[in-house]
Amino acid sequence: MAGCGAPGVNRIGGGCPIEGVKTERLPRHGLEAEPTDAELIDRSRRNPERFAAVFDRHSDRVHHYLARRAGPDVADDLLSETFLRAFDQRDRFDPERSPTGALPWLLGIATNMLRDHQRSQARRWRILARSGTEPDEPSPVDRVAARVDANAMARPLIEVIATLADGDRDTLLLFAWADLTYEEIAAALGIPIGTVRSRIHRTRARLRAALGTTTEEQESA
Amino acid sequence: MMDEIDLLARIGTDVPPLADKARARTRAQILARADRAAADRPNGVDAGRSARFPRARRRMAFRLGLGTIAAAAAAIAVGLPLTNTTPAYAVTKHSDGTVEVVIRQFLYPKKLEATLRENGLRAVVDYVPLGQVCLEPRGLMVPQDTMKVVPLPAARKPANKNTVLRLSPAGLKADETLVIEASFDKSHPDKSSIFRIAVFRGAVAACKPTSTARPAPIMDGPNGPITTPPK
Repeated sequence: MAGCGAPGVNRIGGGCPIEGVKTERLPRHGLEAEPTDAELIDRSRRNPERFAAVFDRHSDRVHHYLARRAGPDVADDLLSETFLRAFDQRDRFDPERSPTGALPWLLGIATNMLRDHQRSQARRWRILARSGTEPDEPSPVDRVAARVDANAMARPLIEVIATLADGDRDTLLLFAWADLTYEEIAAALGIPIGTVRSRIHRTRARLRAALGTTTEEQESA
Repeated sequence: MMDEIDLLARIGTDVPPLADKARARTRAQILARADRAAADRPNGVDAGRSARFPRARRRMAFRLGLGTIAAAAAAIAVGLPLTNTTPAYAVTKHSDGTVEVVIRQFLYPKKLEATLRENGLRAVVDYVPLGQVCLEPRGLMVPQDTMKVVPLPAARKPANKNTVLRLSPAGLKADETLVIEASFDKSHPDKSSIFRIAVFRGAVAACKPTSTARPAPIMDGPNGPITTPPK
């Protein structure tokens, strides 16, 4: 094997047609009654690879939520982190708390990932602001705002969302962008349903106020 | 008139969908993690800890988990290399992107394979019993790229006779896989008789253990791995 590499290591010979290709063992779909999320997660405790089916089922919706909140550039990485953390924490999934399936639980984990991500972003922005350096890229909020320039009415909403407390923002966006019910948001964030109601009520009032001001400004202009 | 929630719901709906490549990558990461979890499971005992672990043990596990997280966070904070250590091997990812592999025992090849994949190195690892090798050919070997992924020779430290590899994932192209093969004596899992490493382009066939024409010698010399090409 001269020229194949370092001394002391025998490089594997080859270059001929492949006889058999190693394949991954994947969960079978369609051969039996579709298992619920709770059943899949329970099975993944004995057969960890079964968790891939949970990913297959919910990856698109979790990714869409992440991409809307953090931008498409980082959504892929956050999606990976979300599902790997979910896998590690699959023992904690409680079907009684989340009777409609694993999606609220997954979106709750995704929301925690977003908070971690936003904290690092916020730190970076504070540093940049102190140093007076102009950042190379717009902030996440600016990025969203840039996309909604065509709809001027949406801009004041973004400005309000940017100033909301984390819990209020998470609750509102799980409701408006992830289409979760109040019960599912409560399961996702681990908070009482009454808290969800009060947060939604409070943030909607702020959004309405911002829209009302804008409408009045437009009418008087 | 459109209310505030309707208006909010229309913001950001134009984000691109999950791309096939990103979907496949994350799925592979989950399967690699699952592979590791399965390998870590003693005698097929499942991970349903919540039902079977007494509360005190769960608390201890939780504390250990927190310790691990804290250690990992500290490592990230100060830029230390991240190491994944088991009795059989240790995999360390260095800040320059290279991955160091120390093989102490030729056990749990698929666990090592999963760890390498988690460290960004698409690898296939197979250990076969003494006197056997994986049937060739397993695919299309690319010697020139093997040099890029394994720039330094495998070495054995005289003190502990571990096999040490310094691998460069950046040298691996998108359609390539690093293949590591070794044969070992079950009574001496810390020694391999044959240790082989190569980069393959395209698919890699599963290892079909086959007998060598002559038994390979146990590798215990001071000058590094003694290798015997398969017949």
